[in-house]
Amino acid sequence: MSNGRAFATNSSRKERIKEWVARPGGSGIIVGISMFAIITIMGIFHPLLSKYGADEFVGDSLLPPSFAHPMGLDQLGRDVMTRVFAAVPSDLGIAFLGVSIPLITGTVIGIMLGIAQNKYFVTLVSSLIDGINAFPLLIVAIAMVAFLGPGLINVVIILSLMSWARYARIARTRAVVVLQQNYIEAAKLMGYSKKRIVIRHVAPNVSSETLAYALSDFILVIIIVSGLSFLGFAARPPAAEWGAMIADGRTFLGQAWWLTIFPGLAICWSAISLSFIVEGLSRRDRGN
Amino acid sequence: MTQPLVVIDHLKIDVRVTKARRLAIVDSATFNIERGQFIGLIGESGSGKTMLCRSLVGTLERRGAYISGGTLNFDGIDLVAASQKDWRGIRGKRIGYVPQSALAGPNPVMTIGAQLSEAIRQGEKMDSKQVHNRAIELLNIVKIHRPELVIRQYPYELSGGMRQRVMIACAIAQEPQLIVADEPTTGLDVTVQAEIMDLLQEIRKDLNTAIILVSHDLLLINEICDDIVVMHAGVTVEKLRSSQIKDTRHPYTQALYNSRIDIVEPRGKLVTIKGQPPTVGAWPSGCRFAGRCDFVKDSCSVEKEIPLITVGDNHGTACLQYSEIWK
Repeated sequence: MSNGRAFATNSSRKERIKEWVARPGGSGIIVGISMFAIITIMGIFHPLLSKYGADEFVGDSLLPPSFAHPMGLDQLGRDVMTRVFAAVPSDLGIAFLGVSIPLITGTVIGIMLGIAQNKYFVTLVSSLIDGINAFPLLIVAIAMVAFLGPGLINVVIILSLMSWARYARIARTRAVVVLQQNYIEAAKLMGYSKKRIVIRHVAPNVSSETLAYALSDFILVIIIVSGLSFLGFAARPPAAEWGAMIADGRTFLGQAWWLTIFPGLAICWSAISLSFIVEGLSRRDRGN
Repeated sequence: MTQPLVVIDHLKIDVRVTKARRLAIVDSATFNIERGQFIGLIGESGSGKTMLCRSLVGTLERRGAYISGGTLNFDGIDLVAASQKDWRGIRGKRIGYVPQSALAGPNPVMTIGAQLSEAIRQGEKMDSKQVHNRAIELLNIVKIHRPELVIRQYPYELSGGMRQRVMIACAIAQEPQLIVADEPTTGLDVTVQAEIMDLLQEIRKDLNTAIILVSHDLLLINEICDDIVVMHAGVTVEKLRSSQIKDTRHPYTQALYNSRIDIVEPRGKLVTIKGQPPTVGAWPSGCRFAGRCDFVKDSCSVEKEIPLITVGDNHGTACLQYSEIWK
């Protein structure tokens, strides 16, 4: 590998970090991680940093941005900046759940399919996976909200029921490939138990693939969560949530642009930060 | 005389093609491995070398093959009848295996240290400090420089030769009585190949391990092994001491020897063995080399199976005409 450490050196930790950043995609990864860290930290610590509560009426309605309120006030006189950061747990947090649950279940099911010997089991589950994947996610999600009722937790349930199939398909394909690799054969010849081989040798090689997919899926899920909220299917006003805030401010778009722009920018910021990480990692993988 | 470590007698390995159809891959393999012996197994592609190795580590089953006859005995244990539970005590612990492709041998997502400690922990219980020390010790045995550093590295950071050394280190972690090395230098260049071979010889000397080395390269085997077993179309055709290679009593071995590429003394045109080895499943009765042999006689195809004829000390050949050919 040309971009790998050509020869390991006994350099200090600081130099090693420098070296790591200098390799392809390093700066993109750093920028992406910092952007994502900023919004996450602000989201977690906003009650300490902000003078106002998310649902507190602090002044005249539709007050434009000023020093006291950098993102202005909304139609009910709530501080928009506080609300944008207060929305982080419901947007990024829910998106995180909506990615990690299907990631884990999908990977486990995919590996099981990869090692399964029972033809009927494999065919049955594979058809189920193909069936689920055939439906467009957003449309089914809207249809399922009709049954489950609106709410963020329901969005997580819907994503968990739907997304695992994509992860399972990736994991299965990968598991079949990994199982034929020489290192798996070598592990078998070393006399390791089957359980050990699956957990220690197959799973890490499969999950590297599904994890990579999860990172790009994260962007999509953020947009799905806020999109559903915008339509009123997930978080609903007065909850602080970017999609819901945009939907709320839409009626005042002519008089108060700050109600929609700032939550929109927050969605962009998180999506772009993740794109930076994804792009940086794939550049590192390609080595340019 | 002590009992040999491994006794292989008329071993027959079949592959399941369909539910009813069976194909013999190895038909009659016969040789012994003494304790601490360095034995070389040679033959063309498809002569059943790899299958024979697989039978020694009990992983035939996953390729749809199984032992259908003969004897396979390891240190008094009948490997033909061994259960999965028996195998767990043998595979990796008493019989080590060095796989074919060194480049893809180690798991890419685990550090060298993690893989070594996995191999080490197969045996008796040790705390992590002991495991670490043992891993360093093993890397020193296989002559990897700066083991403290390598132990933290991933396989992609190592060269092919180093990866194969790591695989050898894993194989000897439990100090097995037998190491099966199935073409351990495929894909490595000649200088590295020589180093790996030296290493195997040293391990044999220091740990008194028997080693069975599989190769296409007769010169290589002749140089480093004590004994040579020649396989052709699933049958052991000759076994002899490597020092006796020039006194071979089988036309196939002789043909193999004549087709060698001598870099030191080029002999002009390369000699090849005419024809192809007979197809698996369509083996002729009698001597399977008959169709390619220059000395073939009618009597060669009369008997169904040709046994190994003892022609000297530790020397057996499956050629009926040897006394005629070598007068």
